[in-house]
Amino acid sequence: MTSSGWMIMIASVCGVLGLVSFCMYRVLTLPPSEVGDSMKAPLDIDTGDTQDAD
Amino acid sequence: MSDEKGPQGEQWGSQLGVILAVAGSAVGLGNFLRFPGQAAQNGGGAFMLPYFAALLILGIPMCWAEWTMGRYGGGKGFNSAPGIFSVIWPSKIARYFGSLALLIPLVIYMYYVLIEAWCLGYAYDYLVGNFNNIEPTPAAYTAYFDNFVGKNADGFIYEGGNNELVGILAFVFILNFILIYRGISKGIEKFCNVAMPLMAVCAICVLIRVLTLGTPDPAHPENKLVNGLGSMWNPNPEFLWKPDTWLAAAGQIFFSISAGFGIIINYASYLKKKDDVALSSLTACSVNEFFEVCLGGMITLPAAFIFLGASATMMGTFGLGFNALPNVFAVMPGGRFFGFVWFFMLFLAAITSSLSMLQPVIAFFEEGLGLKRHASVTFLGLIAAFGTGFCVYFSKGTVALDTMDFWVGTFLIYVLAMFQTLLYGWGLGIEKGEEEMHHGAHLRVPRLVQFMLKYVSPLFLFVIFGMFCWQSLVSKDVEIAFLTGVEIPQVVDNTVPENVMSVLNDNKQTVPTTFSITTEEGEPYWMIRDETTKPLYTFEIAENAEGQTGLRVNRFSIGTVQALAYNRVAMMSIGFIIIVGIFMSILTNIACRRWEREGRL
Repeated sequence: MTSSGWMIMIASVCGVLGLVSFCMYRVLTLPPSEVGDSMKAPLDIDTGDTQDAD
Repeated sequence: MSDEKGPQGEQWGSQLGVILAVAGSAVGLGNFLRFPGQAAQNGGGAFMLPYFAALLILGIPMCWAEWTMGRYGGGKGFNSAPGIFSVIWPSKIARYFGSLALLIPLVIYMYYVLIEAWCLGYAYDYLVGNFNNIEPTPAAYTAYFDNFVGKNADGFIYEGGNNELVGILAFVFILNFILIYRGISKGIEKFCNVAMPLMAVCAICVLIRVLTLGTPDPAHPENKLVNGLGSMWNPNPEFLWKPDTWLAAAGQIFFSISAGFGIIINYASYLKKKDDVALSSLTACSVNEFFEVCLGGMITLPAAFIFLGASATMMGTFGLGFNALPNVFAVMPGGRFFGFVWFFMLFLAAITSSLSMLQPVIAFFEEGLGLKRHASVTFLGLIAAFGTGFCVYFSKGTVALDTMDFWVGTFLIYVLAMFQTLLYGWGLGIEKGEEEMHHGAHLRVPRLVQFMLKYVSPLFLFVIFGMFCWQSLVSKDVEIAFLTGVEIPQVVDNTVPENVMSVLNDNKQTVPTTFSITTEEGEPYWMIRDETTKPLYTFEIAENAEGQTGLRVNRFSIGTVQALAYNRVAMMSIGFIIIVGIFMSILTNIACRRWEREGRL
């Protein structure tokens, strides 16, 4: 593997890892009020999609 | 939840849930099998420059636009594309493009669930040791795959003794519908919350195995890990000057992020008005990139190269996934376990995608036709089962699957994606779009993105669509060689002259055992055709650039449109797609009239 190959691989992988880490950090550290409103466990939510089925 | 919601009143349970569901929809076999092959064949590391450029210009902006339009439509009480498109652009044209956003996921599901069953079937075969008795040669694994999917004859897998795939397919098909029946939060979200982390664990497990392989075969010291990584990442800058490289990169990004499928717009419609779309969309894109670049780019080709050498870099998606990699696992220490983990991971990647293809149509049946969940799931199940049965029966050469994949999974997706970018930039308008995008946003999207969405992305899409059509739809002669100083008869009998045959052989071109030679009357031009009269090679007396007269030998690259004429199953597949398309258009018309009567449109 050439040195330019190493550089591109490391830059690509680190760039993507950096982006996904930044995004996930932001999502998982939303302000508590936002979390409280939207981060409900799935079972707590009544979707009503099967209860009125015929 | 917003005050204005659709009749089903469904919504996501959490922000992370919708992100994982959208990412699950985007992450599929293409991330692990198509991306490495595309990169290796288009300049290795150099491919990453056009790849990331396309991600920034096309991929991420298009996802932002789709998320925004989806949540906007959801806020107006619609979860399906015909309704969402109609509220953004109140026109009859919009509603019929909406029916395209139902046709695309439905038809893709019909064949994708079959590929999903292949993955689970291979995982099962590793688990029970069915691969133990296969000779570890590429030919043996190719034969196994062809037999497994019934590639040699139509209706093959319905014959006695070949029922394994049918059973697994039935299981996978029913599993999809059970999950979709449970709804957005209890079905799709709950499943993706487990499947996505599990998929990452499986992929990392295989990645560690690949990165610790070293030089497994002392007889071939050149086939070592570092060279395997080099086959994927060493840059060849010459490729940057080729338009095909940029087209391949844009195509890879475009299909990888699932834009233009009609899925993101449906998923985003279940968000609340004040839910974020800017950060969520970027996060879903980045998760998809993580699976593609960090895992797919580090596992598939390096592993195949270490055991199979440089030939692995030229394999297609199915060849790499179902022929080369089983061969690799056969000779890899702990291969049976890692083979199971790998194919189970591919199955998870596939099922999180196939689930997302059903939801847009279910949402339409419920809100457009007023069907309850039981009825809509049953109705959709019958339509999908018919289409999947069609693909399973016409298995010879996977022609039905390939035809559907080309015309719906590629061609129509370009069309829908172009419409959606125009709908955002010119229908919704970038001022309103920017305002809508930033409701509840946890991330500020640069203003430049709006400009790109209005002008650059549509133009970029039109250009790559034009290049795609030129490459795929139009028949062309591709010159193989130019012979000078040889005597060539202008008209030949049904025998290929020896010197011509040796040229074909030298260029790795094969002539089938049954062929015919035809001539064009009055022209110094003749061609070799196969048994179906499809042209394979053309020959013409011509002058080269130096003014010398000789014989130009061309490979006839048949366009997809002309190729239809030579294949009955391909024609039937097109007919099937048209029938489903007309059916969905009629249902869309019925639904829109209903919404008009109710005053919703």
